[in-house]
Amino acid sequence: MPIGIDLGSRFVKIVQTSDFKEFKKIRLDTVQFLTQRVKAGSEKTKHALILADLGLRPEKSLVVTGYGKHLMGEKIKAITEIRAHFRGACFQTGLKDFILVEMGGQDSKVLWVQDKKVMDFQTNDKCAAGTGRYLENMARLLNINIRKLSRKIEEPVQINNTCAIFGETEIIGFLMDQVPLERICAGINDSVSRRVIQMIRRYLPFPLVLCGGVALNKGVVTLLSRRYGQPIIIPEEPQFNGAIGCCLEGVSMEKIYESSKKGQSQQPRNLGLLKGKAEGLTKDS
Amino acid sequence: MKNLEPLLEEKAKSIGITSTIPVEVLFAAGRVPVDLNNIFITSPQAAAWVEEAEEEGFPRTLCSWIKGIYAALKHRPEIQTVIAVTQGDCSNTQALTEILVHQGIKVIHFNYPYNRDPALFKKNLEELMGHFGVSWSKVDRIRKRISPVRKKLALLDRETWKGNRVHGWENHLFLVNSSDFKGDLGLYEEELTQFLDALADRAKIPETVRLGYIGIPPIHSGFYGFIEQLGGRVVFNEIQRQFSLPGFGNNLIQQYLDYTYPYDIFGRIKDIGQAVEERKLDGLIHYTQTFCFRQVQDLLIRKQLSVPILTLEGDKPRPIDNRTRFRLEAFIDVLRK
Repeated sequence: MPIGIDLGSRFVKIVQTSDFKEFKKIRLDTVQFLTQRVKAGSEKTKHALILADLGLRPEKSLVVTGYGKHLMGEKIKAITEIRAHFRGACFQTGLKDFILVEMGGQDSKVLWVQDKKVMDFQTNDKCAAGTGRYLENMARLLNINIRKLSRKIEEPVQINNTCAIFGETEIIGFLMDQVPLERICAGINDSVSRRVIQMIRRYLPFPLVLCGGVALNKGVVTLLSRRYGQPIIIPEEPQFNGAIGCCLEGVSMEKIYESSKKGQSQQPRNLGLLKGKAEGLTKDS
Repeated sequence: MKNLEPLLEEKAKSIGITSTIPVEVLFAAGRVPVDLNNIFITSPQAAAWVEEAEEEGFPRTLCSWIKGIYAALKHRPEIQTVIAVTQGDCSNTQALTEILVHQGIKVIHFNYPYNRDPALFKKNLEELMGHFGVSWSKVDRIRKRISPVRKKLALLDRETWKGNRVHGWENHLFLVNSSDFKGDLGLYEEELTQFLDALADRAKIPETVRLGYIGIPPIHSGFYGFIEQLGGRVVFNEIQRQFSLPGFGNNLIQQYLDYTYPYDIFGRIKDIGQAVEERKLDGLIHYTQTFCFRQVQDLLIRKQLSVPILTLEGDKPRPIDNRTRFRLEAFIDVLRK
């Protein structure tokens, strides 16, 4: 029963599976996890205590990834997020050629996978624009619920700055100009989708797979598919993709693809295809 | 044409070079070639040297190697003559030479014809020979003297990717130094021979990921060691290998026409592609220098080679930064089977 943990900046995602068909999933707030759980126990027993606390039996095959991957102790196998998401996405989608965009709490990654190999990847780790944190901050700035923000897609205003802080300044400007709140929200979602397009254009025309918490934002997904002109593939478990990838550590690529074909539950969902609406936005806008 | 005047009367024997040139000419003339890039990058003060050049007015938005070469000359006042490659390297070198001329340093330009025209290359080479008053027979004699050293370097390279007994760093160091043979061919050959002799006692180096390093030599330090810590190993150093003139050729002209670095990118891509196949490389690391025109060529390398490529960028001479470490770690991690 392998356990995979993705210790992200916003949430800690834990997955346990016995057959790669059913997954036990746990999601915890990272700050709470760090302040309430990680401190307990010695270096040797820390991970066992944490897992027991969560109702999981400590396993030998425990693999960790994410921002805080080394916090579980030196003896626990840690892999990079790029590897974890690559393997998770291969398994979840069954695709051999694709572009994977993983939009997490405070960074986003783009992987170009061709013939089951990561040919190239990019990360943005210097600015939070285009990440979950950016969307959360914007919702807070506008004093609205993030779910409400994520539903807005019509007539997006254009937010030019790729900087999270200057983006806020621009929004204040729109508010002063009395631009409707819906359009500003749509503009925020659109600015995230625009940023994704900028990062993936060089790898076109492969299928686009979106993972991470931001994949749950329907506005971003819809606007992204409009710009992309193709369906965006959202795996069954976008937020747990990295943790699933950790569970797969030690499994050969051939097995990963075999399992992904067998498991009906791992069929990817296609969301957000809005044919005929793409003409409203130019590729570069 | 002031530059054409023979320089035989010159007292100083050391001749600075800004890039690899037909070094046979200098040895034939009894001069000591000094690759200024190597002086710069091996200086413990390399970072401070770049700042010195910036304080004198060199733009911050300029390749650090140019500033490093400039500063290296300031710290090596005995070098009063420089051979500058102003075609086949970068245009920043041209501006650098103008500063050097203004400061009283003798500059001899050497040009690799972009179209690889043998007649034009011969003309440029003979012009260089004319500067130093050496004949073809002298140059050919030196070529024959250097030839076994180049063959030993090819052996060292083979021991890196086939024998798997040489670390990426060692391969880099010997090959990168072959641009000037550290100014002393005999001593260099001795070191190389000793190194090769000692390999017999070495065990094969285990590695999980075989990497090729392409692009100019890194300005970062700690690069090769970090890769090996992660379970990877560089078994191909593209440009460094080119510095050793691995094409051999039937004559000096052919040898330098086979040298890929100063000509178009397509020759380099062909050379890299062959290495990927032959050396069974899992991935390539393309090092680019901040503000260098070669960053544009990254696009073509990626389009023409179907192998995973990680592009790194370095600006100032310093140990590899955390971001580069993170990217290397992720790259090697995804290449693991």
